[in-house]
Amino acid sequence: MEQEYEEEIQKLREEIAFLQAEKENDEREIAKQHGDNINHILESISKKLEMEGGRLRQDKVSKLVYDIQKLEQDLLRQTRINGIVLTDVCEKTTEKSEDKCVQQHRITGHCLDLTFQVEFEVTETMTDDTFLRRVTDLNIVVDGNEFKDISSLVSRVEESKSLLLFFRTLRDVSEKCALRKKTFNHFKERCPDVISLPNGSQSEVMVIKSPKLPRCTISILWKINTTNGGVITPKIELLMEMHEKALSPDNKKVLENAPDAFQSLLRVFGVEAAIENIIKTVGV
Amino acid sequence: MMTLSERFPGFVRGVSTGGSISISRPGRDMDAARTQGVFSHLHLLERGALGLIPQEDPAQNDRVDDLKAVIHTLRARRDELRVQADRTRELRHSIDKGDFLDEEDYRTGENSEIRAALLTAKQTELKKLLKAHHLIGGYDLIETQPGKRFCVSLHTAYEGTYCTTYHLELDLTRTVQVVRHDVPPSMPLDTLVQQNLQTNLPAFLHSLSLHLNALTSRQQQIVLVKDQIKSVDVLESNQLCSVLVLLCRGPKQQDPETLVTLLYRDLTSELPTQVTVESEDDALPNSPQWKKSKTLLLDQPVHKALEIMNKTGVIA
Repeated sequence: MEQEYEEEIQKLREEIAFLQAEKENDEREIAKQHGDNINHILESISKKLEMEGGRLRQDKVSKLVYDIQKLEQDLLRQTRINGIVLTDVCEKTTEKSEDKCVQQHRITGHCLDLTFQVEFEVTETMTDDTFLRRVTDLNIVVDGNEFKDISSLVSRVEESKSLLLFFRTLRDVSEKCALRKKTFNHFKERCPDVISLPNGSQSEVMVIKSPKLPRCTISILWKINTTNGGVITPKIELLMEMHEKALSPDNKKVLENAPDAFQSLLRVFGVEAAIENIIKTVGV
Repeated sequence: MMTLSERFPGFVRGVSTGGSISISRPGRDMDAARTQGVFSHLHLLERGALGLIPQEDPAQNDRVDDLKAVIHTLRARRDELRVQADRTRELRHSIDKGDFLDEEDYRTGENSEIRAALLTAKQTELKKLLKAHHLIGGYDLIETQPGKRFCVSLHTAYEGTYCTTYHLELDLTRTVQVVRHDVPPSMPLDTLVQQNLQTNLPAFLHSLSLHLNALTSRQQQIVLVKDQIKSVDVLESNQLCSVLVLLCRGPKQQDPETLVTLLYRDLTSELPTQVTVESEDDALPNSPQWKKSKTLLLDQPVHKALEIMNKTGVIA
């Protein structure tokens, strides 16, 4: 008898999860397809409510509007403080019982220039009054030129299912990438004849090639490495290449010492001034 | 011994054919009364009262009642939800078909059901987005006093497992101040506050979050060492888990015991900054395999390093 009841409860829970998902899916599609209409309605109703002097109205539509306004404010705040914009979410319950719930999520969004789509499975279990939430599957797709900077992090967090670590680090990586982009593009705009960015505006390499020194190429390599714990260590290096014909013994020495000299410049002046100095030395 | 029904056969038959017998407990006892007569039933009750037959567990009855109540609630919820889901689908179709939203509708307030459906869809979407922010470890900012005070949550996780959540209440009236918090007292919160709470709130939260997550990682590693590496004893640790003293045993019984001390000076890291090995056998810490193990302990989370050391025969 007891077992029959328990089986029925289990069946009901699954049915409820299914209906809920169906309803939410329809709502999601409505919100997606008719976003403009919804905003139009929201606007016109809020105007009407404002005209009435902000008196709280109890009808269903007014309540919905109040609620939506509050949620929108809340979302704006979360987006700002978290530095991550979420554009689309999709959730699916695959298992539901009294002490276990498994949900699959797909989240799309961006963080500065980095766009991502993250799919993950969350398993929540209840054992002896202890609630445990775990990420049991994680799959990350990151788009954009910064992919190089983040690919090692992606494979590492996918393996250890460290969803939170990924987003915590993503924010930091995007900021560092944005700084690099800003710096490189600043120089590129100032000296377009001398400086090129081989991989576009988000390149991790900046090449300095002076017309006065045609046989010499200087590359500034700006890598953004992440440690296992999610600490980010940008690594900026100078690489110098010289045509064989230009290689006198003196030049050879310069070539050998340049990378170390650049590191000292970095420590003393910071990134921008260090690069500035290099550009000056090639005679621009 | 003769039973009552054997002694008074007529009497028993008379009563049992006489129709209804009212007994307070239905079920098994009732059936007994029907087949064996009222005296044997009375006998049964008497024996029951004296504790000679096992009683049905009252807890079990309660449980069945509970289950019934749950089923009742769930059925009601399902039926309600089915109506709602069907209605949402219908509305979605009629909304997709179009031509209902003209200016006239706004003015007259027609189609209020469709309007409500559109708004409900928006509401659901916003709720889902907020939930997603929570799941990916967002700061879950909550206004505790409008425009003045906020509560921030800092979630921690070790690999895929969500762990402790810490909270801070911030007052933004003039300067930003931490009003109260549940961050462990040994955490250098004051230093972090001085560094950038006033100037850069996201940077402050980020560095605090790094500290708290590293702490969680170190805590979880100790739990895993205790769980997985049975031959190693955790002798000492502190609240910040910035010191960890382990007693390791060699694979052979006559092997000397080794004391391994891990220091975590970088509180944003889950890895130690210094490893010292002490043993009764002075030569042991400098043996090639222990030198290798030291590097391993600096590079890997402690439970993983110990597992490798166990597999390669450095420790039991």
